[in-house]
Amino acid sequence: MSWAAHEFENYLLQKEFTRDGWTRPSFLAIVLGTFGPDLFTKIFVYGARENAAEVHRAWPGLGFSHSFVFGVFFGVLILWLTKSKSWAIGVVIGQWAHVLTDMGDSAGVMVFFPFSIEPATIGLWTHSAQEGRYGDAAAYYSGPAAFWDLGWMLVTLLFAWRALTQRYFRDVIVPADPRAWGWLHGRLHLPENALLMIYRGIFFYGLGRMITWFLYARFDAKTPFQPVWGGPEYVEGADLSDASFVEVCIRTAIGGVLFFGFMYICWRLFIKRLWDRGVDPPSMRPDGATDRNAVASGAGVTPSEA
Amino acid sequence: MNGAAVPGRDLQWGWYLFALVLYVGLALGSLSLRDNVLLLNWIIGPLFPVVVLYVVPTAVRALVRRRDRR
Repeated sequence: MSWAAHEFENYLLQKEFTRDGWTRPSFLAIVLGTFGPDLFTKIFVYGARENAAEVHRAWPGLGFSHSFVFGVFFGVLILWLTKSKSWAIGVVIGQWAHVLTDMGDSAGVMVFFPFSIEPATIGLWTHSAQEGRYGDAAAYYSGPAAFWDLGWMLVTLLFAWRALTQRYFRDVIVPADPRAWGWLHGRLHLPENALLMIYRGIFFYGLGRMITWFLYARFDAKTPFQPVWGGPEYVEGADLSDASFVEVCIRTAIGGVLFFGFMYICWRLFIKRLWDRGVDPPSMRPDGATDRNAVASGAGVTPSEA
Repeated sequence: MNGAAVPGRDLQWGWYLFALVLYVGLALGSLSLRDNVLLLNWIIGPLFPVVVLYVVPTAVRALVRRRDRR
């Protein structure tokens, strides 16, 4: 698991997947997608102690929450219920990013569940949930994962710093999701600068969480700092598979082929129909139509307010 | 903090830094109470800046204004 990377990557993903004429993913949906897998599992993981990794990542267990199909399921559900393409694609992007990011720890993820239940991992850092929340955090920030989070933060600041600006928030984030921001604006009486604080709050939270747990590991838990591949070495990382590297590659490849075949069939059978009847945010519509509800409810974080 | 309640006006980054230092200090303090990760959870953490930099100053300003009117 990653403790702060999931927060930083939201900004980069939103910026990189925003393409004129194709898609404008909702930032809030990406956040929901990246938080989703752990929202469903964390509460059970630390209670399971020695079986924490199995509960979190394996099958039987809650490991399906860290698979691509879980994100697709919720994306399709949201598309069906709300017709919002921005939210559907946002949730899928966020959840898939979470799955790929978590491939870094020793437990790995069942990317192509249910077509492969082989955990795929690069084993960069230890999955130490069996140590409890505090011990897990201390271990995470005592190994290479500390640099993983720092790296994600730097990459976000380097390549997506614009996404943190007020102009980007006004020009891209709100128009991609006028109803949600309009609801916050109208119902909670929050002006643009307060909405901007909520938007930047995810980055703030990632940074704050990273610093806090790192300091906790160094000065309270006093765990040794061992940023080596597969580290830290003072704690045993969960390993959910006895398979060799080649076996993992073969099973994951077969699972991948079956998964994408399944996705293609689902697309032809019903997802395409749902997608075609889905709606883009007003800012993407060629006629420039405005969303009456969004404007009425005050999504108008308009330039005139500035 | 004058800009905190003015619609559309962006805060200086220094205020975010102030909030961050406050957040880390409070979070570290709360960690010493075993099994207390309230500030570090997924709801309180992201909302911390808006509470500290907008809600609290706005509420304080409203209270001061009300007191001055009396």
